[in-house]
This record gives sequence, structure tokens and C-alpha cells, in this order.
Amino acid sequence: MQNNLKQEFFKFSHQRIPIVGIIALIILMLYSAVSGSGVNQALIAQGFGAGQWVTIIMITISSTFVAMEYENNTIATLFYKSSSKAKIYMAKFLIIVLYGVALLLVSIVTTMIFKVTFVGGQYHWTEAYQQSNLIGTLFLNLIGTFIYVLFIVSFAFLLITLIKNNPAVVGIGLAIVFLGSPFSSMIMSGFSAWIPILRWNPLNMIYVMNQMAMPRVFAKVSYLSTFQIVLGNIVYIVGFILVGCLLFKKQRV
Amino acid sequence: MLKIDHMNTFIGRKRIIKDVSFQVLPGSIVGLIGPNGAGKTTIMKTILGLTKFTGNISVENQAVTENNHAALTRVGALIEHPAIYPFLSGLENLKLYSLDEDDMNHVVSLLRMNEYINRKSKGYSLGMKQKLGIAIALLNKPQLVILDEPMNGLDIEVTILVRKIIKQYAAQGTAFLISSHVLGELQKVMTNVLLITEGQIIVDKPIDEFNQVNHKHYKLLTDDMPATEQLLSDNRISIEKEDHYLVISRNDSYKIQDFLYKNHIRLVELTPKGMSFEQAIVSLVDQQRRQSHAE
Ligand SMILES: Nc1ncnc2c1ncn2[C@@H]1O[C@H](COP(=O)(O)OP(=O)(O)OP(=O)(O)O)[C@@H](O)[C@H]1O
Ligand SMILES: [Mg+2]
Repeated sequence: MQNNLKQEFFKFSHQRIPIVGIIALIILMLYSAVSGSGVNQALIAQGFGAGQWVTIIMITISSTFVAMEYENNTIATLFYKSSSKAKIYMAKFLIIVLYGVALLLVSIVTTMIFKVTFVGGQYHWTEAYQQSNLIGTLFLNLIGTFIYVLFIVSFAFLLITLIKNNPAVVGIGLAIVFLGSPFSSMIMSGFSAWIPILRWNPLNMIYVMNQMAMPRVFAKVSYLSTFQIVLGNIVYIVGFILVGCLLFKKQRV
Repeated sequence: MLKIDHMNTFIGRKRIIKDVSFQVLPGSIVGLIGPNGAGKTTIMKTILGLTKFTGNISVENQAVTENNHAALTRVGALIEHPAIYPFLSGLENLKLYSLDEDDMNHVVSLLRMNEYINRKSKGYSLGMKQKLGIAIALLNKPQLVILDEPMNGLDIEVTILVRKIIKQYAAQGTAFLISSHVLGELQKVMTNVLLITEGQIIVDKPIDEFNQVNHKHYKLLTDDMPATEQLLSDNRISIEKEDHYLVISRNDSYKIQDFLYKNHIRLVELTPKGMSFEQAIVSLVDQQRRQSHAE
């Protein structure tokens, strides 16, 4: 496993994608900062839209990181050099998750810089905001984002293993992030009798990003308690990883 | 070294390789030859534990299975297309698998890739990529090297170089299993021929034997060809003309030499005329096809 991790890290870090991802994140956060009606506490607490932007970047990168093995004919060599396809799959997954953490750290630093740049000392990190203070809310939002990153990465891995079409996986992933939650809310309001079941649907899991920081507001949207939505995410994550790993093990080249 | 026993390979439910058995000994260079779709690539993938199969495959007495590739630690391979990450330089691609830097640099200079090995492999030509693929297969002093169509896209000069390197490694005990369509290329390097059609091995022979079988005819040249021709037809010996030679049957060769001697015609040249290696292969494959269709 250690060797798999080393190889995957080597491959990942020698691409341009990780740097491009970081630059894209900063630019998109900048876009959030200047496009709205001005920088307020809410925008700072959300890390200038970091949750959404990190998720989008992670979908693209994770799918590509698996797809490249098929595109470059390296999959046969990768498989024969290793006895365990599961280890290859998990090594790739871990490297990508590690990168997700790096993106979140970048978003924290960038948020701090942007806050000083755009509003100076107007808001204090320690001033009360939502259920906590400004910095606490930011961290809760990013923890929520981290959970959803695990969800979306494990889903993207499963999907790319299944359909081996990178643009399609990226497209589906983006659709889920942009349209998934309104669609989920729409069907729940359409079939309100079924809410006890429908609230567990995978599209609903995205609310974990906001519910960590604003449990009371978002519990009414997701119909799940904070504990439940975290649990739901974990169950989906484990499920996606298990099924994806199993499908990957069945791959023949 | 490599031992294959009653191997059947399945793709989906279809049996692609049918009850194949053969061995590759240390230092031997086995040519896997057969028409498109015969199953050459599939055999190689099976040896590398990449397909569903029955039967036994072992490398140095250690079994290869789909889920245990420990026996493949010292097996190098190039399957179909070179496995290259375009965003890495040639050297970085090698580093990904290399266990010994000196050996890696040795392989690079053997294949004369020093000039461009530090450039991103995205910009490599077809032949440069192919060479890099061969280099990856030769890393870490392998016991067995499996090369699928290794001469693809290589110019004459590089082909000769690769042939030389293969012989060099074989001389040190590395075993090779190589497939190719360009028979002439393999003929010059292989020690054994493995002929395969429709998933079955129809010939498994050392190359020397293979050549002898086809030498049923001799080419004859004398210092007086018109007289020779007259002499042989007078004696009802069947001959054929080819260029400025007469082609005779091997069975007649002693008789003919006697006639020539008695008639004071001097023998200039008498050499075996096999079918060319390529012709022999084609006729064997044809034969097999006719048989299997007749069944
Ligand atoms: N993934 C696959 N699905 C279905 N059939 C396959 C698959 N791969 C190979 N085959 C079949 O297996 C047979 C052997 O294919 P293989 O690629 O081993 O031939 P080959 O001898 O390497 O041919 P070539 O000289 O063209 O490279 C062919 O009939 C082919 O149609
Ligand atoms: Mg082939």
C-alpha cells in the first residue's frame, strides 16, 4: 500500500492539475468577493463560496485522476505490477482526499487575506455569528464541505470506474452540485408524505455543507438532524467506496 | 523460467485461448507468431495475471494468479501500447518503476535515449514512445521480458539496436517472449518459434529445426548451365528454373552430383532453398485453417 501511495502521489504531484486547481479556487473565491453586493459576514463565514468551488474542482480532478490510466494505456501495467486492485483504488482515493484537505487549507488562508483586503478590520473573527463566532462558523462550513468532498469524490470514483467517460462523469457531478439540492427539495415538497424516506436520498446529502454551521435553518430544508445528515453522508461514502472498489476489482484490461 | 500448463483464457464467457501449454527457458527468445486476432496479446495478458483463466502459469516455480502477482516482481512487459504518462518526462516514467538508479541510467543509454529523456514524454514521437515502453520493460534486470509487437514504429536502425539489446540480455539469462507481425525481424533474433492461430498453438519448435524442415529443395549452379539442364532432363530428373539457378529436389542431390562429375561439369553452388521463413509460416497457418474448417 505504501508503494501504491508513493506512486500515486508521484503521478499526482507531477501534473499541472493540482496547481491549476489551487489557482482556480483563488480566482473563483475572488469572483465571489467582487460579484455580489459587497463583502459581509455571511460571505466571510462561507469562505467566499469555498465550499461550492472546492466541490466543483474536486469532481473534475478526481474523475480525471482515474480516467488518465485508461487514456494512457497505463492501466494494464498498473494492474500487473500490483496484486491488489483495491490498494490501487484506495491509494488514488487517499491522494485525492489529501488534495481536498490542501484545497480547504488554501481556502482558509485565502479567506483571511481577502477579509483583510476587502473589509480591513471591520468584522472581528471572534465576534458572534450564527451559533458560534465568525471563525467558528467558517470552520464548521469547511468541515461540512470536507464531508461532502468525501461524498462527491467517492461517487466520482465509482462513476468513472463504471462508465469510463471523463467528460460525462464531470458533467453529472456538476449537475449534482448545482441542481441536485433544488431538485431534492422539489421532490420532497411534491411528495411530502414520503419525506421520511425521501430525505435520505443522495441529492439531499449536499446540505451537510451548510447544516454544520447553521443546524436550525438547514434542518428545516433537509428534514434531517445534523447527526442524521452526517450519518447519511458516511453511509453513502462507505457504500460508494465499497461498490466502486468492487467494480474496479472486476475491471479487466 | 516461465511454464504454462493447459491454459484457457476467457473473455466474458468466450474461450479465447484454448488449452495452451509451453515453456520459456532462461536465455531463450521465444517468438509468438500468428495472424491478427490469433490471441497473442491475450496470452501475454494472461501471463501477467490480467485475465480470467484456468490451468497453471508459473514463473520460477511460483504460481501467477489473477489476485497474486508476487511471481511477476521480476517480469518486465510492454503490452500493445507503451504505458506512458504524458505529463511525466521519460526519466520520471522510468522512475515510477525503477528500483535501481544505475540500472535505469544503463537502460537509458543502451537505448540511446539520453538526449530527450528529460523532456516531457507528451512531445515524443511514436518511435521514442515505443523505445520508452521497451525501456520500462527492461528495468530492474528482469528474469522474463514480455514484449507485444515491440518493433512497432521503430526505424531500421533502432530495430537493429533493439534486436542487439534483446540478444545481450538473453545472453545474460533473461528469457523473452515476443510477438510480432514482422516475421523477418523476429527470425533474426528468436531461438524458438511459437505459432498460434485461433487461440491454439500449432507449432512449438526451436528455430533451427523450423528452418531445416523447409529445405526440401536445393539451388544448383554449375559452370555450364545449358549442358546441366540438358543432362538432367535427359535423365528424367525434375527441375525448375529460378533466376539463373536450377531448383532440384533434395532427394536427387547425390544422384545429380554423380552425373555432373561423370560429365565433367563443375559444381559452382549447391545450397538449400527453403521456402522463405515467411512463406513457411503462411503455409502452416493456411494448412491449420483448412483443417479446422474441414472439421
Ligand atoms: N476485450 C475483448 N472482448 C471481446 N473479445 C476480445 C477482447 N479482447 C480480445 N478479444 C478477442 O480475442 C481474440 C484474440 O485477440 P488478441 O488481441 O489476443 O489477438 P492478437 O493475436 O494479439 O491480434 P493482433 O495481431 O491484431 O494484435 C480476438 O478474436 C479478439 O476478438
Ligand atoms: Mg495483439
